[in-house]
Amino acid sequence: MIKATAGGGGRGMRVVEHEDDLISYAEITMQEAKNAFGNEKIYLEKFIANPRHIEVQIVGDGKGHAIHLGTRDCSMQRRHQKIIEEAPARNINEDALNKTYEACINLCKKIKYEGVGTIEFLYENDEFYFIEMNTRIQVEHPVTEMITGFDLVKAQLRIALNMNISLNQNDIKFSGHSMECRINAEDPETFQPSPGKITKMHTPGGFGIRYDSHIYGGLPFLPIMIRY
Amino acid sequence: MGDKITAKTLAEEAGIQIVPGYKEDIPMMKKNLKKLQKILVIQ
Repeated sequence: MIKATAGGGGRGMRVVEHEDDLISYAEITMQEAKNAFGNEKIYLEKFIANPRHIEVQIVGDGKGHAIHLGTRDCSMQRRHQKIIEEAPARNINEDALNKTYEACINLCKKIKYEGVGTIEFLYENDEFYFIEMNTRIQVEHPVTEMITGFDLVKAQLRIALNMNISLNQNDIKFSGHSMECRINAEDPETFQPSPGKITKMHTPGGFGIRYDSHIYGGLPFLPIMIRY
Repeated sequence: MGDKITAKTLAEEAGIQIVPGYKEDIPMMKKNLKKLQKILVIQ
Protein backbone atom coordinates (compact mmCIF):
# COMPACT_ATOMS: atom_id res chain seq x y z
CA MET A 1 0.00 0.00 0.00
CA ILE A 2 1.34 3.41 -0.97
CA LYS A 3 0.14 6.26 1.23
CA ALA A 4 0.59 10.00 1.23
CA THR A 5 2.03 11.25 4.51
CA ALA A 6 -0.42 14.16 4.43
CA GLY A 7 -3.39 12.07 3.27
CA GLY A 8 -6.59 11.30 5.10
CA GLY A 9 -10.23 10.41 4.70
CA GLY A 10 -9.34 7.61 2.34
CA ARG A 11 -7.57 9.92 -0.09
CA GLY A 12 -3.95 9.66 -1.17
CA MET A 13 -3.48 5.93 -1.09
CA ARG A 14 -3.09 3.14 -3.61
CA VAL A 15 -2.74 -0.63 -3.41
CA VAL A 16 0.10 -2.17 -5.41
CA GLU A 17 -0.75 -5.72 -6.38
CA HIS A 18 2.11 -6.34 -8.80
CA GLU A 19 5.78 -5.51 -8.30
CA ASP A 20 6.02 -3.93 -11.76
CA ASP A 21 3.43 -1.33 -10.79
CA LEU A 22 5.32 -0.01 -7.79
CA ILE A 23 7.22 2.83 -9.44
CA SER A 24 4.41 4.11 -11.63
CA TYR A 25 1.88 3.92 -8.77
CA ALA A 26 4.29 5.71 -6.46
CA GLU A 27 4.71 8.50 -8.99
CA ILE A 28 0.95 8.80 -9.50
CA THR A 29 0.30 8.87 -5.75
CA MET A 30 3.00 11.51 -5.27
CA GLN A 31 1.46 13.71 -7.95
CA GLU A 32 -2.05 13.24 -6.52
CA ALA A 33 -0.79 14.01 -3.03
CA LYS A 34 0.95 17.13 -4.26
CA ASN A 35 -2.23 18.33 -5.95
CA ALA A 36 -4.55 17.44 -3.07
CA PHE A 37 -2.44 18.20 0.00
CA GLY A 38 0.45 20.33 -1.28
CA ASN A 39 2.86 17.64 -0.06
CA GLU A 40 4.09 14.82 -2.28
CA LYS A 41 5.73 12.69 0.41
CA ILE A 42 4.66 9.07 0.51
CA TYR A 43 5.36 5.98 2.57
CA LEU A 44 4.70 2.27 2.22
CA GLU A 45 2.96 -0.18 4.49
CA LYS A 46 1.66 -3.72 4.37
CA PHE A 47 -1.77 -4.01 2.77
CA ILE A 48 -4.18 -5.60 5.20
CA ALA A 49 -6.87 -6.98 2.97
CA ASN A 50 -9.94 -7.42 5.11
CA PRO A 51 -9.58 -5.67 8.44
CA ARG A 52 -12.13 -4.13 10.74
CA HIS A 53 -11.80 -0.44 11.50
CA ILE A 54 -11.74 -0.04 15.27
CA GLU A 55 -11.03 3.22 17.03
CA VAL A 56 -10.42 4.30 20.61
CA GLN A 57 -11.84 7.56 21.96
CA ILE A 58 -9.50 9.38 24.31
CA VAL A 59 -9.55 12.60 26.33
CA GLY A 60 -6.47 14.35 27.68
CA ASP A 61 -6.21 17.44 29.83
CA GLY A 62 -2.87 18.65 28.47
CA LYS A 63 -1.25 18.11 31.86
CA GLY A 64 -0.45 14.44 31.50
CA HIS A 65 -3.81 12.99 32.54
CA ALA A 66 -5.75 10.96 30.00
CA ILE A 67 -8.58 8.45 29.88
CA HIS A 68 -10.20 6.31 27.21
CA LEU A 69 -13.89 6.01 26.53
CA GLY A 70 -13.84 2.64 24.86
CA THR A 71 -14.06 1.59 21.26
CA ARG A 72 -16.11 2.28 18.19
CA ASP A 73 -16.48 -0.07 15.24
CA CYS A 74 -16.49 1.90 12.00
CA SER A 75 -15.91 -1.00 9.63
CA MET A 76 -19.04 -0.32 7.60
CA GLN A 77 -17.57 1.99 4.97
CA ARG A 78 -17.99 2.79 1.35
CA ARG A 79 -15.25 4.46 -0.71
CA HIS A 80 -13.29 4.72 2.57
CA GLN A 81 -16.02 6.86 4.12
CA LYS A 82 -17.76 5.69 7.27
CA ILE A 83 -21.45 4.92 6.91
CA ILE A 84 -22.45 3.14 10.13
CA GLU A 85 -20.60 3.45 13.42
CA GLU A 86 -21.17 1.42 16.58
CA ALA A 87 -20.03 1.57 20.17
CA PRO A 88 -18.63 -0.50 21.66
CA ALA A 89 -16.90 -2.72 19.12
CA ARG A 90 -17.91 -6.34 19.72
CA ASN A 91 -15.96 -9.60 19.39
CA ILE A 92 -12.59 -8.07 20.11
CA ASN A 93 -9.80 -10.03 21.77
CA GLU A 94 -9.82 -8.81 25.36
CA ASP A 95 -6.06 -9.07 25.95
CA ALA A 96 -5.28 -7.20 22.74
CA LEU A 97 -7.86 -4.57 23.62
CA ASN A 98 -6.51 -3.98 27.11
CA LYS A 99 -2.96 -3.68 25.78
CA THR A 100 -4.18 -1.22 23.17
CA TYR A 101 -6.02 0.87 25.75
CA GLU A 102 -2.88 1.00 27.85
CA ALA A 103 -0.73 2.00 24.89
CA CYS A 104 -3.23 4.71 23.87
CA ILE A 105 -3.14 6.22 27.34
CA ASN A 106 0.67 6.01 27.31
CA LEU A 107 0.74 7.91 24.04
CA CYS A 108 -1.57 10.64 25.34
CA LYS A 109 0.41 11.01 28.54
CA LYS A 110 3.70 11.06 26.66
CA ILE A 111 2.64 13.91 24.39
CA LYS A 112 0.52 15.59 27.10
CA TYR A 113 -2.43 15.40 24.77
CA GLU A 114 -4.94 18.21 25.21
CA GLY A 115 -8.57 17.79 24.17
CA VAL A 116 -10.59 14.91 22.76
CA GLY A 117 -9.15 12.66 20.12
CA THR A 118 -9.45 9.33 18.39
CA ILE A 119 -6.78 6.75 17.76
CA GLU A 120 -7.71 4.64 14.77
CA PHE A 121 -6.69 1.04 14.15
CA LEU A 122 -7.03 -1.74 11.66
CA TYR A 123 -8.00 -4.95 13.45
CA GLU A 124 -7.36 -8.37 12.01
CA ASN A 125 -6.58 -11.79 13.54
CA ASP A 126 -6.80 -10.43 17.09
CA GLU A 127 -4.20 -7.75 16.38
CA PHE A 128 -4.54 -3.96 16.39
CA TYR A 129 -2.51 -1.91 13.90
CA PHE A 130 -2.29 1.85 14.33
CA ILE A 131 -3.51 3.89 11.35
CA GLU A 132 -3.65 7.47 12.57
CA MET A 133 -4.78 9.75 15.35
CA ASN A 134 -7.52 12.27 14.72
CA THR A 135 -6.85 15.21 17.00
CA ARG A 136 -10.41 16.54 16.99
CA ILE A 137 -13.99 15.68 17.76
CA GLN A 138 -15.30 13.20 15.20
CA VAL A 139 -18.65 12.80 13.50
CA GLU A 140 -19.20 9.49 15.29
CA HIS A 141 -18.60 10.82 18.81
CA PRO A 142 -22.33 10.55 19.79
CA VAL A 143 -22.24 6.74 19.90
CA THR A 144 -19.57 6.95 22.60
CA GLU A 145 -21.54 9.59 24.48
CA MET A 146 -24.64 7.37 24.35
CA ILE A 147 -22.96 4.40 26.05
CA THR A 148 -20.89 6.37 28.59
CA GLY A 149 -22.99 9.43 29.37
CA PHE A 150 -19.76 11.41 28.97
CA ASP A 151 -20.23 14.72 27.15
CA LEU A 152 -17.23 14.92 24.82
CA VAL A 153 -18.00 18.35 23.42
CA LYS A 154 -18.38 19.79 26.91
CA ALA A 155 -15.06 18.20 27.90
CA GLN A 156 -13.35 19.65 24.84
CA LEU A 157 -14.66 23.13 25.61
CA ARG A 158 -13.69 22.92 29.28
CA ILE A 159 -10.17 21.80 28.37
CA ALA A 160 -9.85 24.53 25.72
CA LEU A 161 -10.97 27.14 28.28
CA ASN A 162 -8.47 25.80 30.83
CA MET A 163 -11.32 24.97 33.21
CA ASN A 164 -11.08 22.15 35.74
CA ILE A 165 -11.94 18.71 34.43
CA SER A 166 -11.83 15.44 36.30
CA LEU A 167 -10.45 12.62 34.18
CA ASN A 168 -10.70 9.43 36.19
CA GLN A 169 -10.85 6.14 34.30
CA ASN A 170 -12.81 4.49 37.11
CA ASP A 171 -15.62 7.04 36.64
CA ILE A 172 -16.26 5.84 33.09
CA LYS A 173 -19.02 3.23 33.00
CA PHE A 174 -20.16 1.56 29.82
CA SER A 175 -23.79 0.65 29.31
CA GLY A 176 -25.64 -0.65 26.28
CA HIS A 177 -24.87 -0.46 22.59
CA SER A 178 -25.23 2.47 20.23
CA MET A 179 -25.31 2.82 16.45
CA GLU A 180 -25.08 5.85 14.21
CA CYS A 181 -26.04 6.11 10.57
CA ARG A 182 -24.84 8.84 8.26
CA ILE A 183 -27.23 9.97 5.56
CA ASN A 184 -25.56 11.21 2.40
CA ALA A 185 -26.98 13.42 -0.34
CA GLU A 186 -26.48 11.06 -3.28
CA ASP A 187 -28.20 9.98 -6.42
CA PRO A 188 -29.81 6.64 -5.42
CA GLU A 189 -28.91 5.02 -8.75
CA THR A 190 -25.41 6.27 -9.43
CA PHE A 191 -24.39 7.04 -5.82
CA GLN A 192 -22.82 10.26 -7.04
CA PRO A 193 -23.04 13.34 -4.78
CA SER A 194 -26.33 15.06 -5.46
CA PRO A 195 -27.00 18.57 -4.17
CA GLY A 196 -30.55 19.95 -4.25
CA LYS A 197 -33.44 21.05 -2.09
CA ILE A 198 -34.60 18.85 0.80
CA THR A 199 -38.28 18.81 -0.02
CA LYS A 200 -39.55 16.71 2.92
CA MET A 201 -38.04 15.66 6.15
CA HIS A 202 -39.23 13.60 9.10
CA THR A 203 -36.76 13.33 11.96
CA PRO A 204 -36.66 10.18 14.08
CA GLY A 205 -37.54 10.27 17.75
CA GLY A 206 -38.31 8.11 20.75
CA PHE A 207 -36.50 6.49 23.64
CA GLY A 208 -32.80 6.06 22.99
CA ILE A 209 -32.91 7.98 19.71
CA ARG A 210 -30.54 10.88 19.19
CA TYR A 211 -30.66 13.08 16.15
CA ASP A 212 -27.78 15.48 15.36
CA SER A 213 -28.08 17.67 12.30
CA HIS A 214 -28.54 21.20 11.05
CA ILE A 215 -30.83 20.30 8.17
CA TYR A 216 -34.59 20.85 7.80
CA GLY A 217 -37.31 20.48 5.19
CA GLY A 218 -36.92 23.20 2.56
CA LEU A 219 -33.18 23.57 3.03
CA PRO A 220 -31.25 23.97 -0.23
CA PHE A 221 -28.44 21.45 0.02
CA LEU A 222 -25.46 23.12 -1.61
CA PRO A 223 -22.52 21.36 -3.31
CA ILE A 224 -20.19 22.77 -0.64
CA MET A 225 -22.14 20.81 2.01
CA ILE A 226 -21.33 17.48 0.38
CA ARG A 227 -18.29 15.59 1.55
CA TYR A 228 -16.74 13.86 -1.44
CA MET B 1 -0.06 14.95 15.13
CA GLY B 2 1.71 16.33 12.10
CA ASP B 3 2.13 14.00 9.18
CA LYS B 4 1.38 10.29 9.29
CA ILE B 5 5.01 9.22 9.58
CA THR B 6 5.47 11.40 12.66
CA ALA B 7 2.26 9.99 14.12
CA LYS B 8 3.33 6.40 13.46
CA THR B 9 6.70 7.03 15.06
CA LEU B 10 5.14 8.56 18.20
CA ALA B 11 2.62 5.73 18.41
CA GLU B 12 5.31 3.08 18.08
CA GLU B 13 7.38 4.75 20.81
CA ALA B 14 4.34 4.59 23.11
CA GLY B 15 4.02 0.85 22.56
CA ILE B 16 1.27 0.89 19.97
CA GLN B 17 1.59 -1.69 17.21
CA ILE B 18 1.75 -0.11 13.76
CA VAL B 19 1.16 -1.59 10.34
CA PRO B 20 4.46 -3.12 9.15
CA GLY B 21 6.01 -1.08 6.40
CA TYR B 22 8.71 1.25 5.17
CA LYS B 23 8.21 4.54 6.95
CA GLU B 24 11.44 6.29 6.11
CA ASP B 25 11.16 9.27 3.80
CA ILE B 26 10.96 7.96 0.28
CA PRO B 27 13.25 9.92 -2.04
CA MET B 28 11.35 11.58 -4.82
CA MET B 29 13.56 10.65 -7.73
CA LYS B 30 12.70 7.80 -10.02
CA LYS B 31 16.13 6.16 -9.66
CA ASN B 32 15.62 6.05 -5.91
CA LEU B 33 12.20 4.51 -6.31
CA LYS B 34 13.91 1.76 -8.29
CA LYS B 35 16.35 1.24 -5.42
CA LEU B 36 13.40 1.02 -3.08
CA GLN B 37 11.75 -1.56 -5.31
CA LYS B 38 14.88 -3.72 -4.99
CA ILE B 39 14.85 -3.35 -1.19
CA LEU B 40 11.21 -4.39 -0.99
CA VAL B 41 11.67 -7.37 -3.27
CA ILE B 42 14.62 -8.59 -1.18
CA GLN B 43 12.60 -8.20 2.02
